[in-house]
Parts: sequence; C-alpha cells; structure tokens
Amino acid sequence: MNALLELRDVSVRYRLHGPPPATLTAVDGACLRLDAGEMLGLVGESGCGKSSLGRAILRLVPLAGGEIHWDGRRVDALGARAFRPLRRELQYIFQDPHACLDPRMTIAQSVAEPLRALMPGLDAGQRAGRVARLLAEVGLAPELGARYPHQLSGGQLQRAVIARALVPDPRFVVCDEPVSALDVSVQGQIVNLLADIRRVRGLAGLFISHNLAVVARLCERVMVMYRGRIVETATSAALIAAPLHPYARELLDAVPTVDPGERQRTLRRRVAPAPDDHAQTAAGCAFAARCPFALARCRSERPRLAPAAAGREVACHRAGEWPAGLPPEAQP
Amino acid sequence: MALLEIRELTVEFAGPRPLRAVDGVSLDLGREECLAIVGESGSGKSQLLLACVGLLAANGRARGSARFGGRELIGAGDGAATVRGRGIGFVFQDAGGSLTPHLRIGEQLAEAAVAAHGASWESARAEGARMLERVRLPDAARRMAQYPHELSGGMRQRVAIALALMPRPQLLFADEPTTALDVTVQAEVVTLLATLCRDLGMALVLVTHDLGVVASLAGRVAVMYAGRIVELADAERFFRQPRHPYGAGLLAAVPTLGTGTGPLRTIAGAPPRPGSVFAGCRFEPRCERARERCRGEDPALSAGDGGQVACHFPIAGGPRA
Repeated sequence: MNALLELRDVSVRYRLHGPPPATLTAVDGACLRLDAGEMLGLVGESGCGKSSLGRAILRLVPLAGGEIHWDGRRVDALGARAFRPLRRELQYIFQDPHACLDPRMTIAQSVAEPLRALMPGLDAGQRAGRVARLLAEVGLAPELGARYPHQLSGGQLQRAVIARALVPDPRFVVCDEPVSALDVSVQGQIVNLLADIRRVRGLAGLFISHNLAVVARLCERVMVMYRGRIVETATSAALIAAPLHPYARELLDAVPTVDPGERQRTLRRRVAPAPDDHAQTAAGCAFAARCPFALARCRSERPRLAPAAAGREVACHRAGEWPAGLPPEAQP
Repeated sequence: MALLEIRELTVEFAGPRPLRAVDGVSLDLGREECLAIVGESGSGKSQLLLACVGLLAANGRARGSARFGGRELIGAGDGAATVRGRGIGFVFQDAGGSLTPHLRIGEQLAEAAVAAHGASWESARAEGARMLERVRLPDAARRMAQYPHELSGGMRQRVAIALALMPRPQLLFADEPTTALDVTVQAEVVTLLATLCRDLGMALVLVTHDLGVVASLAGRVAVMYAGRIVELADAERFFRQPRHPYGAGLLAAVPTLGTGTGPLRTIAGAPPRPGSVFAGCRFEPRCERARERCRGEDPALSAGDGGQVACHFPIAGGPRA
C-alpha cells in the first residue's frame, strides 16, 4: 500500500550570514513514511530540526535535498502554482497562538481567511457556515467568533488556531508544539481536543513536541530527532518501555515525574551540562560527544538508521548489543 | 526566627483597569529551606518575589510587610537595596536578559563581587572563575573571556546562577529558571540548584508552573491561584495527597509516561483574568466540588493536616485516587 506521505533523505540547510558565512544543516537526510489517518510523533530538543522538518513538508522552507511524495506523487519538484492545490490538504498549527492570529481581525475573520485563498469558489454565506461549524468543532462558543484575539484566553486562542488550520478540511496537519505555550490546566484540554479531532476526522499528521508523555497520548508511533538526524523510530509504547538509542533514554529521563517515590531519581541525573559543540559532526554520530556509550568508531563513522527489533529503527552502532533495551550503565 | 517573613503582602497595579496581582499573602521561610511556589500564569507568583526585591514595574505598588533577617523590605525605598543586593540573589527565566550583552562573562561576575563586598578586581575575577566551576560550567577559564551570546541557553542560565551567587546570598529567588530551557537541560539546572543550596547552606524560593521540577527539588510547596495562596504543604504530603481541588487538578493534569493513552485529566475553564472581582472562592467557577457556600464566602487559609488550605471542602486524607 502506498504511504500518504513519504520523505526520502530530506535535508534542510540554512545559510548563516557570517562572519564567517557558514551553512547550518537543520535536517540531515530524514526519511519517514506515514499512512492515511496516522499521527506520527516527532520529539527532540529545540534546535534539533523538528520544526524545520515540519515546515519542509509544507514548503515553508526550501529543501536542500531529498524527495517528498504525497499520496503517491512526487511533490517537492512541483512549481509554486502546481503545488497550490495541495496547500488545502496540508496545514500547520503553530506553537504560539498569540503570534499567529492577526490582532486586528476577529476570530471568525481569521478562521475564514484560509478559505478566501484556498477555496475561492465559496461565497460569503458558505464561508460563514464553515467557520461556524469549525468553531463548534473546537469547542468555541459562537459569540467568540466576533471577539478579537486579546479578548480570549490562551486556550481559546489555540482552539481558534486549530479551527483555522482545519477549515479547508486538510488531510494532514503539522502540529508544532501546540500546547507548550499553554498553562498546565489548559494543556490537557487541547491535547484531548486534538485526540478527538484526529479520531473523528481520521486526520493524519506530524505531532512535534519535546515532551514524550504528551506525544504518547496522541501518537501510535514516534520518531526521535537529534541535531538534524532521526536517531530512533518506534511505537510510543515500545520506546517508553525500552529505548534503544542513548539519546532517546535521555529524553525519557527528562520527562518530569510527580510521583513522590520517583522524586529522588531525577536528582541522581548528571549535573554537568551537555557539550555545546554545534560544529557539524559529519564524520561520526551526532550524539557521540554526549553519549556515555560512545566508542572510537562512533566518532569516525556515521551510524545509519537501520531496522532493529520488529517495527523499529535505530541509528546507533552499538544498538545490536542491547536488543531488549539499553543497559543501565555504560559498558566499555 | 524565620529568614523571610511575608505578612499580608498585596501588590496592585494602577492603570485604566487597576488590578490586584497579589492579595494578602503571608508566608514564612526558614534558613536553608527550599520552597516552591506553583501556579499558572497570572496567579501572582512572580509579582510576589519581585515585590520583595523592589523590582515591581513603575505602576506597581506593594503593601504589607516582608522582613528579611529582621529588616523590612517593603516601602523601605533604596534603604533596603543593600540588604537585598547582598542577601537575596535572583535568577530570572530569561538568562540572556540578566546578563549584559557587551561585557565578558568574567567582568560581569567580578563586578558583582566588587560591588557586594569590595573585593579587589584580582580576587573578584578568581572568585568568578571558582563560581563558574561551582555551577559546573566546563572550561571556566575560557568562558570568563566570552560574551553571553557565545553560550547556549543552558550555559547562560548557569552563568546567571553564578552571577546571582557572587554576593554569597543567604536566599535565592529563582523565577521559572528552567522554563526557557530544553527538557534535558532543565533536569541539569534543577539538579544544580538543589546541589548549590545544600552545599552553600542557602534558602531557595522557586517559582514555577512545572510540578515535575517541584517534585524533584522542593521541601515545601505553596500553590497560588488568582493572587492567593490556596494550599501550603510539605512537598511529600502535597504530592501524596493534595488537599485543595486546584492543587489536585494541577497534579492530575501533568502528563506522565505509562499512564495509558486515554484522555488527559483536565481542569475545566481557564484561570480568571487579572483584575477579576470575586465574591466567594476564586476557584469555585472551575471546581468540581463547589457548593453553595463556595459562591458566597471566601475561604481563608487555615491550618490542618501538615499544612494549610483555603477551601471550605478540602479533599480528605488517604491515598490519592
């Protein structure tokens, strides 16, 4: 069966205006496959390239290399005009709802805005009908449509942003840290809303987050990214039960716990900071400088993402030594 | 005697729509104690700290009392500046913002030591380098010669912590010190703060919305909602059995690993907008346990069961559901 979305060796580079001028590789040969109706998680720390990857899919940033296939068709080489019909099918939800709604437009106007561009055949009445349906779907009272962004709470704004992304009936949505900017008591409401929408609409998407606990709620499968490279893909359950890549375990350890019995566990973590060497580690593994398991080979030879256990892939030279999950301590 | 005694502290902001950010908060902090203040944005937790160190915005006014080592901090004007400068360190959320962009790290650290206890520049620089080692910044000698923009966010936060510690304060205020950092770096900074407080015999007030950070660090927890403390308890007891419905809701809302894939527990509604007026309990509109009395009568913070709670119908003891 054809995947809905397939990325092959996708790279994104940014030119840094020096001095001295340099190139930053934000995404370095990423591959992924996603089926219709599948929500795929993408986790990693800020600056690892997860947003660049999401933006590359929607052509919000140019590709430096690789191919993107949508619905069985290669789309990365399409011209802007030929790509235009696809904009209806591919949408993006940004992190900060305050930043992505025009303060001078009412909520209803903002939600209707994509329809003017993407579905010009609709008349004003049809647009209004769609907007009303969408506000109801995201749990906003009809009268909030006439309000301006500054009159809404953070959670209500994020609902409006979600409505605007969904109003052209997309088949795929990049959700880029959609709850990170919200208060704890509201985060759960938005996560639950996204889960409902996904189920009801059969929506596919890429859910970007730094919090594995949130990703696990929404996504069957998750990819872990480090410095532009995908280092592990697995089902959320398998990753949480037994990460294979040392960086994946570091991310798992970083998920806060409110269990009193586990409080001390966090205190045992290392106190030295991660090395801050953002030099391109083209030769070896990007994680080698931080990795307690690194060998000489890890610094000279780049590990490829390769199948490990059933349905999972890992980019680590030593992963074969721990098929059932990482050992607790590094063995030389 | 407590190191810090806050009594009926109120913070108000003038403007077209005047608002009260902190509403009659009282709190004691012992020497070497670690207290976490948790709450959502707008709950007044940051303003409480800023009022104590005289850093409120120009239209802000603090009333009430905050005594540090017996000296009054509120309304004392510049007379309290020295007390604060030497006795209370402050770490902000945005580490970049508390560092001067055009001065080398070493100069900034040394300057703090010179200002606080008249050290010579020579010894102040040496002290700065030692402090960078204390905050586990590798390669301290090289860092001394660097500018803030040459460091990563996590490293800048370490430098900001070192800077706050240069006057050797007895008390450190940390306002969302990990919020702007990556998750893996957050754990490092939290661990560092805990270690420093223990090693230096320093008290810590940590303001955060992240209960995970609190769980790994604090001895006591104060939960703030709409300008009030609604629950104050030992961290151990709070995480085992929160008594205020809001504290319990916050705890239940934290997504954790291995709790299945069902819907997340949430608190309905949103925090009240700053400047709202309340007749009864401030949490009543969002509270599942609310009854008639909660609508008309404002609950006071009263003692019981290893802490204090401001609720007419607190959650009873016993293991958390």
